[in-house]
Amino acid sequence: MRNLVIFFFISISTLAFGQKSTISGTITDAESGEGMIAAVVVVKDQGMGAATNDYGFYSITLPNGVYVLEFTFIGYQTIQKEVLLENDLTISVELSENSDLLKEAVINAKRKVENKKISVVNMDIKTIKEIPVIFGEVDVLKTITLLPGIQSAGEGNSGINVRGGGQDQNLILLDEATVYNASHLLGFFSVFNGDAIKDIEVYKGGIPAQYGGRLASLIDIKMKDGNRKHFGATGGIGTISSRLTLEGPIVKDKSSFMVAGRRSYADIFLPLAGTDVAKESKLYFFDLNLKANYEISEKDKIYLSGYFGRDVFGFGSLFGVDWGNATSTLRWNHVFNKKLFLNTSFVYSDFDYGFQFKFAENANFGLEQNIRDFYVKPDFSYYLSPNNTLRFGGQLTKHRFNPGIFKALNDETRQLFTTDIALEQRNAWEGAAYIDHDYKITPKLNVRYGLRWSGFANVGGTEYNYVKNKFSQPIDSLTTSTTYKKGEIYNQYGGLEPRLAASYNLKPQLAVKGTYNRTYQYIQQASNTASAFPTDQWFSSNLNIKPQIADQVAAGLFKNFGSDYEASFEVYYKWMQNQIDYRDGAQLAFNENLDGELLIGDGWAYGTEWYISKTEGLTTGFISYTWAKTLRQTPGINNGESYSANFDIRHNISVVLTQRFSSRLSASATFIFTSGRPFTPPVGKYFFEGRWNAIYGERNNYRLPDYHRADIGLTWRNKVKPEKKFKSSWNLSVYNMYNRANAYAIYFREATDEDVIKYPNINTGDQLAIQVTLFKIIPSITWNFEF
Amino acid sequence: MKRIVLISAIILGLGSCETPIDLVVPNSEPILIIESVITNDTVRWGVRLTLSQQYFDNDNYYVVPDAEVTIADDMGNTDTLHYELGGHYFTYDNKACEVGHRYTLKVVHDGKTYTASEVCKFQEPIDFLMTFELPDGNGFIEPGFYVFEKAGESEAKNDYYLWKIYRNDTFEELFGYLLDTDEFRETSFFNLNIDPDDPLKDRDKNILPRPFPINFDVGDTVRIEQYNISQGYFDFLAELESQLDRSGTPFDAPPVNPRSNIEGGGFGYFSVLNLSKATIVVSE
Repeated sequence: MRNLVIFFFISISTLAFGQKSTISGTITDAESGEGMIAAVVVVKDQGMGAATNDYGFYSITLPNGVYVLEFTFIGYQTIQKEVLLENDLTISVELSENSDLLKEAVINAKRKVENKKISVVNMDIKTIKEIPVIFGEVDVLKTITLLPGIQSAGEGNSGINVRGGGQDQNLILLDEATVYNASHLLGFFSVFNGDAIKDIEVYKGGIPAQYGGRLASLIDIKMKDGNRKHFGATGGIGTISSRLTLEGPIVKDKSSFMVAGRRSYADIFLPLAGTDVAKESKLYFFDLNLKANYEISEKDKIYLSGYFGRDVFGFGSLFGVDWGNATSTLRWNHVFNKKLFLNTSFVYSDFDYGFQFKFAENANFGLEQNIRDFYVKPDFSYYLSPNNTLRFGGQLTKHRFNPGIFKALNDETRQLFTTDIALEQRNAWEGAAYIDHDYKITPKLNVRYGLRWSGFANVGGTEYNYVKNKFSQPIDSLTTSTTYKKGEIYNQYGGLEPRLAASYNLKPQLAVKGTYNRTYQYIQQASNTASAFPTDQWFSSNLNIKPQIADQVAAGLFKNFGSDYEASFEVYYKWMQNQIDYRDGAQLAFNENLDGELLIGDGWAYGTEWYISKTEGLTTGFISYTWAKTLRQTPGINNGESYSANFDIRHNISVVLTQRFSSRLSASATFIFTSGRPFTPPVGKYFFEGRWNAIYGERNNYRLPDYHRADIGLTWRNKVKPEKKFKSSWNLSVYNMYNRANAYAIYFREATDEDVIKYPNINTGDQLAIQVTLFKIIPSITWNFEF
Repeated sequence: MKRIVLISAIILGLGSCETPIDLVVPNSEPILIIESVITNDTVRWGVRLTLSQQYFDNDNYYVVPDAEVTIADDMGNTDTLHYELGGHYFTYDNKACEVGHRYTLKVVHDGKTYTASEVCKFQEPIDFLMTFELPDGNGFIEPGFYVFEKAGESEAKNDYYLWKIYRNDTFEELFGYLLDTDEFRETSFFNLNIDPDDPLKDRDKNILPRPFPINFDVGDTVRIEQYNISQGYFDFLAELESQLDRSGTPFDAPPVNPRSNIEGGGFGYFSVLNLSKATIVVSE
């Protein structure tokens, strides 16, 4: 720790003093006026450069002199400017997209091997839109699971597991706002509308000190700002949903807005279905993305973004479940001077979920739960020199957990059930402060290191007392409890989270990189199953539950071949402390003694990730392979022996190919193979109480059959009429084209009379293993337009 | 809740399908299964011993005819049970457990010793049974003839109960075990505050005695057996039952074996129960 501080001061003090000036400004898209993220300014012949931040802002400080600056971004034309630097300068540029013909010739700065961050993957939204997906519904979360180290939680599930982390260990940010549940339709789709998204980046490791609060990853999703130059609309009519996005200037070149809406309409066709179940059911989602920004002055800009989405599922009038996220972010960019940039985010995030049951007119009940966060997050960037950037800031969050109110939903029920049953709301503060130094020590060696302090405090309320066993697990709840005054901090946790990423160029196109990071997590979801339900409740650390801690090291080799091919290889190892599992038969929903259902253990994960991509040309694509292992060890489970985590998948291969045939026709294909996920089948049976009962062996000691499928997609762009802005295209896709019956689940039961009639080799009373397949071949068609 | 995903898939018309498959699952060694219930009712005590088998072995269960089986109490008495048929061992005499005493089962088989013990608990007898006819319009209770009981609750908390219902001497299979406890509130089947002269007087306020969940016919002879059971047996039955409703989807909790009280490596349960029973003929 002390060495780190000394290193920090030495590296700051190595900055040369002399006559220097700063060039700063923004790099924006010439077509839309949107700020470009990670566009690069290169100081020609000096081996120096700077990248834009999330708002398109850059700053570079150089000794006074004459320079040639090159402004570049992937897929865009490079602009060169010669400058005479005597005083501070503001240079803002607009970059135009390359025409198709030029695309091949450009060697892009972003693709340079030294600019690839270790353990970070991203995919641009254009690529995501071309990759075929189920029902043709563009899905950023599903598509990024094709990349190494990111594992889909399975078909029909938008949960993802990153390097052995649980689904609730990913920090999903939409314009800096935490998204607690990213699933629509119980996980068939994710909540992010592809038309509203500008950029997605996933940190599997090497998480910058600026971010924290989750163990496994940061999934940073940014919404489009809206076109500042002219009004436009994009949309589409698909098999499952339709969407429309409007964007345009509010005040030309100063401010813009974007509104994107989407609604599924599978339910509209339900009355046509033959079954009564379908006729009486409700099943739909909608979501709305809103964004506006305003440039108050050259030094101040504000951005307002919001997301609102809702899912409704109803089974006749008897049972319903619904959930939704609402987030809003107000961000204020302030440029203090040419070198110091501040963004302050004010964020509100709410996730609420509930059930409704109707046993009879006078027995109609509902359960309402939610989690709500308010936070403020100032982030400073100080551009000391081309080789030194200092970032510092903090975050303060107020969490409010509402574990449930059980109430009557109509007057008839209220007459009998007069008082709501409410579990006590929980409140907590979570805070953090960080400093991060990005330092290019030599042209070949770059380090980014930082330190984050995070802390957590439980505030006010009732804590139940528990008897603890020898493993410090709370076991039996006592009838006694302690009540703390409103606002009283009665329990605190905190810790330091060092972060480090280093990169060394062995050759111009070959780099070796390494990273270490420690992360803390203070809130989690109570889920005892391989897939979390949106309705599984969130709860925090407290007197009985220590924060989760993870340490991860990763190393990698990055190599570019020619101008077209990129390859990387990474290996990682991760240790996880205070991992939460649940005792057998745990009662997790609406339980004020939830702590007594938990079992605390350790986890570890390791693996290798291979990736090769072709990024330019008419044929593009990538192959990714992950070999991974994820284990848990928890006293009280599996006789204390280690066991495979539910998402312990050994092999994972994705192949993605996109072929451009002409300016109007392109096709893409994917192939996915993953080894079967673990499950616990019966290893025997016994006759007891007049029937057969199963005997289960070790936890997750067996695997589902391997999963594989291929999808294809075809995009046909209609002719653009001269002088007309209207463009449209058809997208045809076939999911699971060779109709593979993959196992979604396997369950066990006795043969029924129906089975005996249907299958000649099955006799009454036989025990059967039944494979459930969710999706076989699914063709779909989508019409997209923009003007 | 578990099947919602599958229901959604069906609604979306995705053609989700179920097919029997051949699966080679890991095999476990045969485990001795002990099933025994003794009560304060005077009957011959019995123990059934069988062996577990491979999951896809479709033969009938394997009986164990060659074990030494004894039941001892804490007053110095030991009974040796003899083998009859179908894995069943019995005492020669009729026996009844005495309240407050501990009974220990010991089985020696294949060189291994298995033991289990429980205490015979106390319970108040059932005060009476009544029947009533319920017309339409009572929430989620269908119209028909029902039986309910009035019973007394012992003052001490943490009692666990199991009910078995017989119609004309035939056991009524229900969707799961009829279990309840006074751990958190009154045992609702006891109908503690019922007015025996006018049990339906609060029906206008939608307050009914809690009936047993079976719609009977007039003329049925109904026997209610109420058992005061140990917490261990209560948990065991609940866990046994929870394993029957597994859908196998990622939304299932991990499967577990019910917590048996057999020590020495066996499965099953040796339970000592206090039984209270009453009979009524359903009338109009």
